Amino acid sequence: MGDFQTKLEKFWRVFYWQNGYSRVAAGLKNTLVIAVLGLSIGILAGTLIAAIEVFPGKRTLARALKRLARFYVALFRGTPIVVQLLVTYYVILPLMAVNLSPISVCVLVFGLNSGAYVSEIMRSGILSVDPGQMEAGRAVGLSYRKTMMEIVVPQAVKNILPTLGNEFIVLIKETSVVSFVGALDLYVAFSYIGNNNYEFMVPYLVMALIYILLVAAITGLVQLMERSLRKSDRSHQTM
Amino acid sequence: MIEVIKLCKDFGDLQVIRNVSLTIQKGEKVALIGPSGSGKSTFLRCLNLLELPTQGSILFDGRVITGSKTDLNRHRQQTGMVFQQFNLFNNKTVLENIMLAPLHMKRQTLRQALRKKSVCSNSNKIIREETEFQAIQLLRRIGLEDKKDVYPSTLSGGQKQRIAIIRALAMDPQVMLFDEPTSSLDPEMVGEVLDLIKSLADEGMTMVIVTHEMGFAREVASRVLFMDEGKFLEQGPPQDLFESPGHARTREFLSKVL
Ligand SMILES: Nc1ncnc2c1ncn2[C@@H]1O[C@H](COP(=O)(O)OP(=O)(O)OP(=O)(O)O)[C@@H](O)[C@H]1O
Ligand SMILES: [Mg+2]
Repeated sequence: MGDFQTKLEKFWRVFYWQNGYSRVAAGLKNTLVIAVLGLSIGILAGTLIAAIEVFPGKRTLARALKRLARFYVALFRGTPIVVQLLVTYYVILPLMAVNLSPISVCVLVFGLNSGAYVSEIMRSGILSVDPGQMEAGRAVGLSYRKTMMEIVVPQAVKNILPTLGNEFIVLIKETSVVSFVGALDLYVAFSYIGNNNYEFMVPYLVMALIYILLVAAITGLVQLMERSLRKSDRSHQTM
Repeated sequence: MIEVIKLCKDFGDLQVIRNVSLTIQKGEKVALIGPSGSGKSTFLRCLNLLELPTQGSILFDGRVITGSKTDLNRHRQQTGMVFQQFNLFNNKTVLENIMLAPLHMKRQTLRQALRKKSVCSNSNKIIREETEFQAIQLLRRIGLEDKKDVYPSTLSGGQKQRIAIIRALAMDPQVMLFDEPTSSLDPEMVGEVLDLIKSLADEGMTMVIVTHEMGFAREVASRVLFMDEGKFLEQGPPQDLFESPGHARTREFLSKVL
Protein backbone atom coordinates (compact mmCIF):
# COMPACT_ATOMS: atom_id res chain seq x y z
CA MET A 1 0.00 0.00 0.00
CA GLY A 2 2.93 2.23 0.76
CA ASP A 3 3.99 1.62 -2.83
CA PHE A 4 0.67 2.89 -4.11
CA GLN A 5 1.00 5.90 -1.84
CA THR A 6 4.26 6.86 -3.57
CA LYS A 7 2.70 6.37 -6.95
CA LEU A 8 -0.15 8.64 -5.98
CA GLU A 9 2.27 11.28 -4.80
CA LYS A 10 4.27 11.06 -8.01
CA PHE A 11 1.10 11.41 -10.04
CA TRP A 12 -0.07 14.33 -8.01
CA ARG A 13 3.26 16.10 -8.38
CA VAL A 14 3.00 16.12 -12.14
CA PHE A 15 -0.77 16.48 -12.29
CA TYR A 16 -1.07 19.37 -9.91
CA TRP A 17 2.31 21.05 -9.42
CA GLN A 18 3.63 20.64 -12.97
CA ASN A 19 0.45 21.68 -14.73
CA GLY A 20 -0.50 18.18 -15.88
CA TYR A 21 -4.13 19.08 -15.19
CA SER A 22 -4.16 21.72 -17.90
CA ARG A 23 -3.26 19.03 -20.43
CA VAL A 24 -5.91 16.75 -19.02
CA ALA A 25 -8.45 19.57 -19.26
CA ALA A 26 -7.43 20.25 -22.86
CA GLY A 27 -7.65 16.54 -23.66
CA LEU A 28 -11.07 16.28 -22.02
CA LYS A 29 -12.22 19.32 -23.94
CA ASN A 30 -11.03 17.81 -27.23
CA THR A 31 -12.71 14.50 -26.46
CA LEU A 32 -15.99 16.28 -25.81
CA VAL A 33 -15.66 18.64 -28.77
CA ILE A 34 -14.97 15.77 -31.16
CA ALA A 35 -17.80 13.66 -29.74
CA VAL A 36 -20.37 16.48 -29.58
CA LEU A 37 -19.59 18.02 -32.97
CA GLY A 38 -19.12 14.55 -34.45
CA LEU A 39 -22.51 13.42 -33.26
CA SER A 40 -24.11 16.65 -34.49
CA ILE A 41 -22.67 16.14 -37.96
CA GLY A 42 -23.60 12.47 -37.66
CA ILE A 43 -27.22 13.28 -36.85
CA LEU A 44 -27.48 15.73 -39.75
CA ALA A 45 -25.79 13.39 -42.22
CA GLY A 46 -27.58 10.33 -40.83
CA THR A 47 -31.03 11.95 -41.03
CA LEU A 48 -30.37 13.05 -44.58
CA ILE A 49 -29.23 9.57 -45.61
CA ALA A 50 -32.12 7.89 -43.84
CA ALA A 51 -34.56 10.26 -45.55
CA ILE A 52 -33.03 9.36 -48.92
CA GLU A 53 -33.25 5.65 -48.09
CA VAL A 54 -36.92 5.70 -47.08
CA PHE A 55 -38.01 8.10 -49.85
CA PRO A 56 -40.60 6.22 -51.92
CA GLY A 57 -39.71 7.89 -55.26
CA LYS A 58 -38.39 5.76 -58.10
CA ARG A 59 -37.02 8.38 -60.47
CA THR A 60 -33.45 8.23 -61.75
CA LEU A 61 -32.22 10.88 -59.34
CA ALA A 62 -33.80 9.16 -56.33
CA ARG A 63 -32.27 5.86 -57.37
CA ALA A 64 -28.81 7.36 -57.87
CA LEU A 65 -28.98 9.06 -54.46
CA LYS A 66 -30.07 5.81 -52.83
CA ARG A 67 -27.14 3.97 -54.34
CA LEU A 68 -24.76 6.70 -53.17
CA ALA A 69 -26.23 6.53 -49.66
CA ARG A 70 -25.76 2.76 -49.52
CA PHE A 71 -22.16 3.10 -50.70
CA TYR A 72 -21.43 5.72 -48.04
CA VAL A 73 -22.89 3.59 -45.26
CA ALA A 74 -21.03 0.48 -46.43
CA LEU A 75 -17.76 2.40 -46.70
CA PHE A 76 -17.87 3.91 -43.22
CA ARG A 77 -19.26 0.87 -41.47
CA GLY A 78 -16.90 -1.48 -43.27
CA THR A 79 -13.58 0.06 -42.23
CA PRO A 80 -12.07 0.79 -38.80
CA ILE A 81 -12.27 4.39 -37.68
CA VAL A 82 -8.49 4.51 -37.19
CA VAL A 83 -8.05 3.69 -40.85
CA GLN A 84 -10.56 6.37 -41.82
CA LEU A 85 -8.68 8.90 -39.71
CA LEU A 86 -5.26 7.97 -41.09
CA VAL A 87 -6.43 7.88 -44.70
CA THR A 88 -8.21 11.21 -44.41
CA TYR A 89 -5.33 12.92 -42.62
CA TYR A 90 -2.37 11.46 -44.48
CA VAL A 91 -3.83 10.61 -47.90
CA ILE A 92 -6.98 12.43 -48.94
CA LEU A 93 -6.40 15.88 -47.48
CA PRO A 94 -2.75 16.15 -48.64
CA LEU A 95 -3.79 15.00 -52.13
CA MET A 96 -6.47 17.69 -52.15
CA ALA A 97 -3.87 20.14 -50.77
CA VAL A 98 -6.19 21.01 -47.91
CA ASN A 99 -4.67 21.92 -44.57
CA LEU A 100 -6.78 21.10 -41.53
CA SER A 101 -5.88 20.90 -37.86
CA PRO A 102 -5.91 17.41 -36.31
CA ILE A 103 -9.00 18.31 -34.27
CA SER A 104 -10.91 19.47 -37.35
CA VAL A 105 -10.01 16.28 -39.18
CA CYS A 106 -11.19 14.25 -36.19
CA VAL A 107 -14.50 16.14 -36.02
CA LEU A 108 -15.00 15.58 -39.73
CA VAL A 109 -14.15 11.89 -39.74
CA PHE A 110 -16.05 11.11 -36.56
CA GLY A 111 -19.02 13.03 -37.96
CA LEU A 112 -19.03 11.16 -41.25
CA ASN A 113 -18.43 7.86 -39.49
CA SER A 114 -21.26 8.31 -37.03
CA GLY A 115 -23.46 9.56 -39.90
CA ALA A 116 -23.30 6.05 -41.32
CA TYR A 117 -24.37 4.50 -38.02
CA VAL A 118 -26.95 7.18 -37.19
CA SER A 119 -28.53 6.69 -40.62
CA GLU A 120 -29.24 3.04 -39.78
CA ILE A 121 -30.64 4.01 -36.39
CA MET A 122 -32.68 6.84 -37.89
CA ARG A 123 -34.02 4.66 -40.68
CA SER A 124 -35.39 2.10 -38.27
CA GLY A 125 -36.76 4.99 -36.20
CA ILE A 126 -38.56 6.46 -39.20
CA LEU A 127 -39.94 3.06 -40.18
CA SER A 128 -41.22 2.60 -36.64
CA VAL A 129 -43.45 5.68 -36.95
CA ASP A 130 -47.03 4.81 -37.91
CA PRO A 131 -47.41 5.32 -41.70
CA GLY A 132 -50.75 6.97 -40.89
CA GLN A 133 -48.76 10.00 -39.69
CA MET A 134 -47.23 10.55 -43.12
CA GLU A 135 -50.60 9.94 -44.78
CA ALA A 136 -52.34 12.46 -42.56
CA GLY A 137 -49.67 15.04 -43.34
CA ARG A 138 -49.96 14.47 -47.07
CA ALA A 139 -53.75 14.44 -46.83
CA VAL A 140 -53.84 17.98 -45.43
CA GLY A 141 -51.60 19.11 -48.26
CA LEU A 142 -48.20 19.21 -46.58
CA SER A 143 -45.28 18.20 -48.78
CA TYR A 144 -43.32 15.00 -48.21
CA ARG A 145 -40.38 16.98 -46.88
CA LYS A 146 -42.47 19.17 -44.59
CA THR A 147 -44.31 16.15 -43.15
CA MET A 148 -41.03 14.34 -42.69
CA MET A 149 -39.42 17.25 -40.83
CA GLU A 150 -42.44 18.31 -38.75
CA ILE A 151 -44.13 15.02 -37.98
CA VAL A 152 -42.18 11.86 -38.76
CA VAL A 153 -38.59 12.71 -37.83
CA PRO A 154 -39.45 14.21 -34.41
CA GLN A 155 -41.37 11.06 -33.52
CA ALA A 156 -38.57 8.90 -34.90
CA VAL A 157 -36.01 10.80 -32.83
CA LYS A 158 -38.06 10.22 -29.71
CA ASN A 159 -38.18 6.51 -30.43
CA ILE A 160 -34.45 6.23 -31.01
CA LEU A 161 -33.20 8.62 -28.34
CA PRO A 162 -31.78 5.83 -26.14
CA THR A 163 -29.96 4.40 -29.16
CA LEU A 164 -28.63 7.84 -30.09
CA GLY A 165 -27.40 8.22 -26.51
CA ASN A 166 -25.56 4.95 -27.00
CA GLU A 167 -24.03 6.23 -30.20
CA PHE A 168 -22.76 9.27 -28.30
CA ILE A 169 -21.15 7.00 -25.72
CA VAL A 170 -19.57 4.95 -28.50
CA LEU A 171 -18.16 8.16 -29.97
CA ILE A 172 -16.74 9.26 -26.62
CA LYS A 173 -14.99 5.93 -26.30
CA GLU A 174 -13.74 5.90 -29.87
CA THR A 175 -12.14 9.32 -29.53
CA SER A 176 -9.35 7.50 -27.69
CA VAL A 177 -7.73 6.89 -31.09
CA VAL A 178 -7.41 10.52 -32.16
CA SER A 179 -3.76 10.63 -31.08
CA PHE A 180 -3.06 8.62 -34.26
CA VAL A 181 -3.28 11.89 -36.17
CA GLY A 182 -1.67 13.96 -33.44
CA ALA A 183 -4.69 15.32 -31.62
CA LEU A 184 -4.39 15.79 -27.87
CA ASP A 185 -6.96 13.75 -25.94
CA LEU A 186 -7.21 12.17 -22.50
CA TYR A 187 -4.89 9.33 -23.52
CA VAL A 188 -2.18 11.73 -24.67
CA ALA A 189 -2.56 13.88 -21.56
CA PHE A 190 -2.25 10.99 -19.13
CA SER A 191 0.54 9.35 -21.10
CA TYR A 192 2.44 12.60 -20.77
CA ILE A 193 1.99 12.50 -17.00
CA GLY A 194 3.04 8.86 -16.91
CA ASN A 195 6.08 9.43 -19.11
CA ASN A 196 7.25 12.16 -16.79
CA ASN A 197 8.26 9.71 -14.12
CA TYR A 198 7.76 6.31 -15.78
CA GLU A 199 4.78 5.61 -13.58
CA PHE A 200 1.62 4.67 -15.48
CA MET A 201 -0.56 2.90 -12.95
CA VAL A 202 -2.25 5.94 -11.40
CA PRO A 203 -2.53 8.06 -14.57
CA TYR A 204 -4.34 5.34 -16.52
CA LEU A 205 -6.49 4.51 -13.52
CA VAL A 206 -7.60 8.15 -13.30
CA MET A 207 -8.15 8.20 -17.06
CA ALA A 208 -10.42 5.15 -16.79
CA LEU A 209 -12.34 6.83 -13.97
CA ILE A 210 -12.88 9.95 -16.07
CA TYR A 211 -14.27 7.86 -18.95
CA ILE A 212 -16.58 6.03 -16.55
CA LEU A 213 -17.84 9.30 -15.06
CA LEU A 214 -18.37 10.78 -18.53
CA VAL A 215 -20.41 7.81 -19.69
CA ALA A 216 -22.45 7.81 -16.48
CA ALA A 217 -23.19 11.52 -16.87
CA ILE A 218 -24.31 11.07 -20.47
CA THR A 219 -26.49 8.10 -19.59
CA GLY A 220 -28.19 10.20 -16.92
CA LEU A 221 -28.68 13.07 -19.35
CA VAL A 222 -30.27 10.82 -21.95
CA GLN A 223 -32.64 9.41 -19.36
CA LEU A 224 -33.65 12.93 -18.35
CA MET A 225 -34.35 13.87 -21.95
CA GLU A 226 -36.35 10.72 -22.51
CA ARG A 227 -38.50 11.46 -19.51
CA SER A 228 -39.27 15.00 -20.62
CA LEU A 229 -40.06 13.79 -24.15
CA ARG A 230 -42.38 11.13 -22.86
CA LYS A 231 -44.85 13.70 -21.62
CA SER A 232 -46.48 13.82 -25.06
CA ASP A 233 -46.75 10.07 -25.01
CA ARG A 234 -48.24 9.31 -21.64
CA SER A 235 -51.13 6.99 -22.30
CA HIS A 236 -49.48 5.79 -25.48
CA GLN A 237 -47.87 2.71 -24.00
CA THR A 238 -51.03 1.67 -22.25
CA MET A 239 -53.02 1.66 -25.46
CA MET B 1 -67.93 19.08 -58.90
CA ILE B 2 -66.04 15.78 -59.00
CA GLU B 3 -66.06 13.77 -62.17
CA VAL B 4 -64.43 10.38 -62.29
CA ILE B 5 -63.95 8.95 -65.76
CA LYS B 6 -63.04 5.32 -66.41
CA LEU B 7 -60.85 5.10 -63.35
CA CYS B 8 -58.64 2.05 -62.86
CA LYS B 9 -56.22 1.32 -60.07
CA ASP B 10 -53.93 -1.70 -59.96
CA PHE B 11 -51.51 -2.80 -57.30
CA GLY B 12 -49.13 -4.89 -59.34
CA ASP B 13 -51.26 -7.68 -60.78
CA LEU B 14 -54.17 -6.93 -58.51
CA GLN B 15 -56.91 -4.87 -60.17
CA VAL B 16 -58.59 -3.04 -57.32
CA ILE B 17 -60.64 -0.38 -59.14
CA ARG B 18 -62.00 -1.51 -62.47
CA ASN B 19 -63.07 1.12 -64.94
CA VAL B 20 -65.28 3.19 -62.69
CA SER B 21 -67.09 6.40 -63.67
CA LEU B 22 -68.97 8.69 -61.34
CA THR B 23 -70.12 12.28 -61.05
CA ILE B 24 -70.61 13.98 -57.71
CA GLN B 25 -72.47 17.28 -57.61
CA LYS B 26 -71.71 20.09 -55.22
CA GLY B 27 -73.52 19.52 -51.92
CA GLU B 28 -74.09 15.82 -52.50
CA LYS B 29 -73.57 13.35 -49.67
CA VAL B 30 -72.44 10.08 -51.14
CA ALA B 31 -72.23 6.96 -48.99
CA LEU B 32 -69.97 4.18 -50.21
CA ILE B 33 -70.78 0.71 -48.94
CA GLY B 34 -69.57 -2.74 -49.87
CA PRO B 35 -67.77 -5.83 -48.63
CA SER B 36 -64.25 -5.74 -47.22
CA GLY B 37 -61.57 -5.61 -49.89
CA SER B 38 -63.94 -4.36 -52.57
CA GLY B 39 -61.84 -1.22 -53.11
CA LYS B 40 -63.78 1.45 -51.18
CA SER B 41 -60.75 2.92 -49.43
CA THR B 42 -58.68 2.78 -52.58
CA PHE B 43 -61.36 4.64 -54.52
CA LEU B 44 -61.61 7.30 -51.80
CA ARG B 45 -57.84 7.68 -51.71
CA CYS B 46 -57.78 8.16 -55.47
CA LEU B 47 -60.08 11.16 -55.04
CA ASN B 48 -57.42 13.08 -53.11
CA LEU B 49 -54.57 11.43 -55.01
CA LEU B 50 -53.15 9.61 -52.01
CA GLU B 51 -53.25 6.80 -54.55
CA LEU B 52 -52.41 7.74 -58.12
CA PRO B 53 -54.81 6.14 -60.60
CA THR B 54 -53.36 3.64 -63.04
CA GLN B 55 -55.73 4.73 -65.78
CA GLY B 56 -58.61 7.11 -66.33
CA SER B 57 -59.02 10.65 -65.13
CA ILE B 58 -60.56 12.69 -62.36
CA LEU B 59 -61.89 16.21 -62.85
CA PHE B 60 -62.25 18.54 -59.91
CA ASP B 61 -64.29 21.68 -60.58
CA GLY B 62 -63.83 21.02 -64.29
CA ARG B 63 -60.04 20.79 -64.06
CA VAL B 64 -58.20 17.53 -64.71
CA ILE B 65 -56.25 16.62 -61.56
CA THR B 66 -54.83 13.32 -62.74
CA GLY B 67 -52.34 14.89 -65.15
CA SER B 68 -48.66 15.09 -64.33
CA LYS B 69 -48.80 18.87 -63.91
CA THR B 70 -51.24 18.84 -61.01
CA ASP B 71 -50.02 20.35 -57.76
CA LEU B 72 -50.86 17.39 -55.50
CA ASN B 73 -50.53 19.41 -52.30
CA ARG B 74 -52.76 22.19 -53.62
CA HIS B 75 -55.43 19.66 -54.55
CA ARG B 76 -55.27 17.90 -51.20
CA GLN B 77 -55.66 21.22 -49.39
CA GLN B 78 -59.13 21.46 -50.92
CA THR B 79 -60.00 17.86 -50.11
CA GLY B 80 -60.40 17.08 -46.42
CA MET B 81 -59.74 13.47 -45.45
CA VAL B 82 -60.70 11.66 -42.26
CA PHE B 83 -59.19 8.26 -41.51
CA GLN B 84 -60.46 5.27 -39.59
CA GLN B 85 -57.43 5.50 -37.27
CA PHE B 86 -57.76 9.31 -36.75
CA ASN B 87 -54.06 9.84 -37.48
CA LEU B 88 -53.69 12.94 -35.35
CA PHE B 89 -50.08 14.10 -35.25
CA ASN B 90 -48.79 12.47 -32.07
CA ASN B 91 -45.99 14.98 -31.51
CA LYS B 92 -48.25 18.03 -31.72
CA THR B 93 -50.80 19.44 -29.33
CA VAL B 94 -54.44 19.57 -30.37
CA LEU B 95 -54.14 23.22 -31.37
CA GLU B 96 -50.92 22.58 -33.31
CA ASN B 97 -52.62 19.67 -35.08
CA ILE B 98 -55.33 21.98 -36.33
CA MET B 99 -53.09 24.94 -37.14
CA LEU B 100 -50.14 23.22 -38.81
CA ALA B 101 -51.45 22.89 -42.36
CA PRO B 102 -53.45 26.16 -42.62
CA LEU B 103 -50.56 28.12 -41.14
CA HIS B 104 -48.13 26.52 -43.54
CA MET B 105 -50.39 27.21 -46.51
CA LYS B 106 -50.97 30.84 -45.56
CA ARG B 107 -47.27 31.41 -44.95
CA GLN B 108 -46.47 30.05 -48.37
CA THR B 109 -48.97 32.39 -49.92
CA LEU B 110 -47.48 35.24 -47.88
CA ARG B 111 -43.98 34.39 -49.01
CA GLN B 112 -45.11 34.60 -52.61
CA ALA B 113 -46.78 37.92 -51.90
CA LEU B 114 -43.66 39.23 -50.14
CA ARG B 115 -41.64 38.51 -53.21
CA LYS B 116 -43.91 40.98 -54.95
CA LYS B 117 -43.40 43.34 -51.96
CA SER B 118 -47.07 44.06 -51.48
CA VAL B 119 -47.41 43.09 -47.81
CA CYS B 120 -46.25 44.66 -44.58
CA SER B 121 -43.71 42.87 -42.42
CA ASN B 122 -45.86 41.92 -39.42
CA SER B 123 -48.22 39.85 -41.57
CA ASN B 124 -46.69 36.68 -40.17
CA LYS B 125 -47.97 37.51 -36.72
CA ILE B 126 -51.38 38.46 -38.02
CA ILE B 127 -51.63 35.21 -39.95
CA ARG B 128 -50.76 33.26 -36.84
CA GLU B 129 -53.34 35.02 -34.72
CA GLU B 130 -56.00 34.64 -37.38
CA THR B 131 -55.30 30.93 -37.81
CA GLU B 132 -55.32 30.38 -34.06
CA PHE B 133 -58.61 32.24 -33.76
CA GLN B 134 -60.18 30.02 -36.41
CA ALA B 135 -58.78 26.89 -34.78
CA ILE B 136 -60.24 27.88 -31.43
CA GLN B 137 -63.59 28.59 -33.07
CA LEU B 138 -63.58 25.08 -34.51
CA LEU B 139 -62.62 23.58 -31.15
CA ARG B 140 -65.43 25.52 -29.52
CA ARG B 141 -67.83 24.10 -32.04
CA ILE B 142 -67.08 20.57 -30.83
CA GLY B 143 -66.84 21.65 -27.20
CA LEU B 144 -63.17 20.75 -26.81
CA GLU B 145 -61.62 24.19 -26.39
CA ASP B 146 -60.19 23.16 -23.02
CA LYS B 147 -58.21 20.39 -24.73
CA LYS B 148 -56.28 22.73 -26.99
CA ASP B 149 -52.92 22.30 -25.27
CA VAL B 150 -52.97 18.56 -24.62
CA TYR B 151 -51.38 15.85 -26.74
CA PRO B 152 -53.57 13.40 -28.68
CA SER B 153 -52.55 10.41 -26.57
CA THR B 154 -54.58 11.80 -23.64
CA LEU B 155 -57.84 11.95 -25.63
CA SER B 156 -60.62 9.42 -26.10
CA GLY B 157 -61.23 7.93 -29.53
CA GLY B 158 -64.32 10.05 -30.08
CA GLN B 159 -62.46 13.21 -29.15
CA LYS B 160 -59.58 12.29 -31.44
CA GLN B 161 -61.86 11.69 -34.39
CA ARG B 162 -63.80 14.91 -33.88
CA ILE B 163 -60.51 16.81 -33.75
CA ALA B 164 -59.33 15.00 -36.87
CA ILE B 165 -62.51 16.20 -38.58
CA ILE B 166 -62.01 19.84 -37.63
CA ARG B 167 -58.34 19.58 -38.53
CA ALA B 168 -59.53 18.81 -42.06
CA LEU B 169 -62.16 21.57 -41.87
CA ALA B 170 -59.51 24.11 -40.89
CA MET B 171 -58.26 23.99 -44.49
CA ASP B 172 -61.69 25.11 -45.61
CA PRO B 173 -62.03 22.20 -48.04
CA GLN B 174 -64.48 21.93 -50.93
CA VAL B 175 -65.22 18.31 -50.19
CA MET B 176 -64.75 15.97 -47.23
CA LEU B 177 -63.77 12.32 -47.59
CA PHE B 178 -64.45 9.97 -44.69
CA ASP B 179 -63.01 6.46 -44.59
CA GLU B 180 -64.96 4.47 -42.01
CA PRO B 181 -64.76 7.33 -39.49
CA THR B 182 -66.45 5.38 -36.71
CA SER B 183 -65.13 1.86 -37.27
CA SER B 184 -62.44 1.96 -34.62
CA LEU B 185 -64.52 3.74 -31.99
CA ASP B 186 -66.07 2.28 -28.87
CA PRO B 187 -69.84 2.08 -29.40
CA GLU B 188 -70.60 4.86 -26.93
CA MET B 189 -68.46 7.31 -28.92
CA VAL B 190 -69.92 6.62 -32.35
CA GLY B 191 -72.82 9.00 -31.77
CA GLU B 192 -70.78 12.13 -31.10
CA VAL B 193 -68.75 11.65 -34.28
CA LEU B 194 -71.76 10.89 -36.45
CA ASP B 195 -73.52 13.96 -35.03
CA LEU B 196 -70.61 16.15 -36.09
CA ILE B 197 -70.55 14.67 -39.60
CA LYS B 198 -74.30 15.13 -39.81
CA SER B 199 -74.04 18.78 -38.85
CA LEU B 200 -71.51 19.26 -41.65
CA ALA B 201 -73.89 17.60 -44.04
CA ASP B 202 -76.67 19.92 -42.92
CA GLU B 203 -74.44 22.90 -43.68
CA GLY B 204 -74.19 21.73 -47.26
CA MET B 205 -70.68 20.25 -47.27
CA THR B 206 -70.04 17.94 -50.20
CA MET B 207 -68.94 14.60 -48.87
CA VAL B 208 -68.08 11.02 -49.65
CA ILE B 209 -68.33 8.58 -46.75
CA VAL B 210 -67.21 4.99 -46.67
CA THR B 211 -69.22 3.50 -43.85
CA HIS B 212 -70.65 0.38 -42.31
CA GLU B 213 -73.24 2.42 -40.40
CA MET B 214 -76.23 1.71 -42.60
CA GLY B 215 -78.62 3.66 -40.41
CA PHE B 216 -76.40 6.70 -40.72
CA ALA B 217 -76.05 6.25 -44.50
CA ARG B 218 -79.80 6.07 -44.81
CA GLU B 219 -80.29 9.20 -42.73
CA VAL B 220 -77.57 11.43 -44.14
CA ALA B 221 -76.69 10.24 -47.64
CA SER B 222 -78.36 11.64 -50.71
CA ARG B 223 -77.02 8.73 -52.69
CA VAL B 224 -75.68 5.31 -51.78
CA LEU B 225 -73.14 3.45 -53.91
CA PHE B 226 -72.63 -0.26 -53.52
CA MET B 227 -69.11 -1.30 -54.45
CA ASP B 228 -68.17 -4.86 -55.26
CA GLU B 229 -64.91 -6.14 -56.73
CA GLY B 230 -63.76 -2.71 -57.80
CA LYS B 231 -67.00 -1.65 -59.48
CA PHE B 232 -70.09 0.29 -58.54
CA LEU B 233 -72.61 -2.47 -58.91
CA GLU B 234 -75.58 -0.39 -57.94
CA GLN B 235 -76.44 3.10 -56.82
CA GLY B 236 -79.41 5.19 -55.88
CA PRO B 237 -81.18 7.11 -53.13
CA PRO B 238 -80.88 5.32 -49.80
CA GLN B 239 -84.50 4.23 -49.54
CA ASP B 240 -84.41 2.60 -53.00
CA LEU B 241 -81.12 0.84 -52.49
CA PHE B 242 -81.86 -0.36 -48.99
CA GLU B 243 -85.54 -1.30 -49.54
CA SER B 244 -85.37 -2.81 -53.00
CA PRO B 245 -81.84 -3.63 -54.07
CA GLY B 246 -81.64 -4.72 -57.69
CA HIS B 247 -78.63 -7.00 -57.51
CA ALA B 248 -78.31 -10.33 -55.75
CA ARG B 249 -74.84 -9.27 -54.49
CA THR B 250 -76.31 -6.14 -52.93
CA ARG B 251 -79.10 -8.12 -51.27
CA GLU B 252 -76.59 -10.61 -49.94
CA PHE B 253 -74.38 -7.83 -48.54
CA LEU B 254 -77.28 -5.93 -47.00
CA SER B 255 -78.71 -9.04 -45.37
CA LYS B 256 -75.37 -9.49 -43.63
CA VAL B 257 -74.97 -5.95 -42.33
CA LEU B 258 -78.53 -4.77 -41.66
N1 LIG C 1 -51.04 -0.18 -51.09
C1 LIG C 1 -51.54 -1.37 -51.48
N2 LIG C 1 -50.75 -2.29 -52.05
C2 LIG C 1 -51.22 -3.49 -52.45
N3 LIG C 1 -52.51 -3.85 -52.33
C3 LIG C 1 -53.37 -2.99 -51.77
C4 LIG C 1 -52.93 -1.70 -51.32
N4 LIG C 1 -54.00 -1.05 -50.80
C5 LIG C 1 -55.04 -1.88 -50.93
N5 LIG C 1 -54.67 -3.05 -51.51
C6 LIG C 1 -55.55 -4.18 -51.84
O1 LIG C 1 -56.62 -3.67 -52.57
C7 LIG C 1 -57.83 -4.32 -52.23
C8 LIG C 1 -58.88 -3.30 -51.86
O2 LIG C 1 -58.48 -2.65 -50.68
P1 LIG C 1 -59.33 -1.50 -50.01
O3 LIG C 1 -58.62 -1.11 -48.77
O4 LIG C 1 -59.59 -0.44 -51.00
O5 LIG C 1 -60.69 -2.23 -49.66
P2 LIG C 1 -61.90 -1.71 -48.78
O6 LIG C 1 -63.11 -1.86 -49.60
O7 LIG C 1 -61.60 -0.38 -48.24
O8 LIG C 1 -61.95 -2.78 -47.62
P3 LIG C 1 -62.26 -2.58 -46.04
O9 LIG C 1 -63.73 -2.54 -45.90
O10 LIG C 1 -61.66 -3.80 -45.44
O11 LIG C 1 -61.58 -1.32 -45.61
C9 LIG C 1 -57.49 -5.29 -51.11
O12 LIG C 1 -57.37 -6.57 -51.66
C10 LIG C 1 -56.17 -4.80 -50.61
O13 LIG C 1 -55.41 -5.86 -50.13
MG1 LIG D 1 -61.16 0.40 -46.30
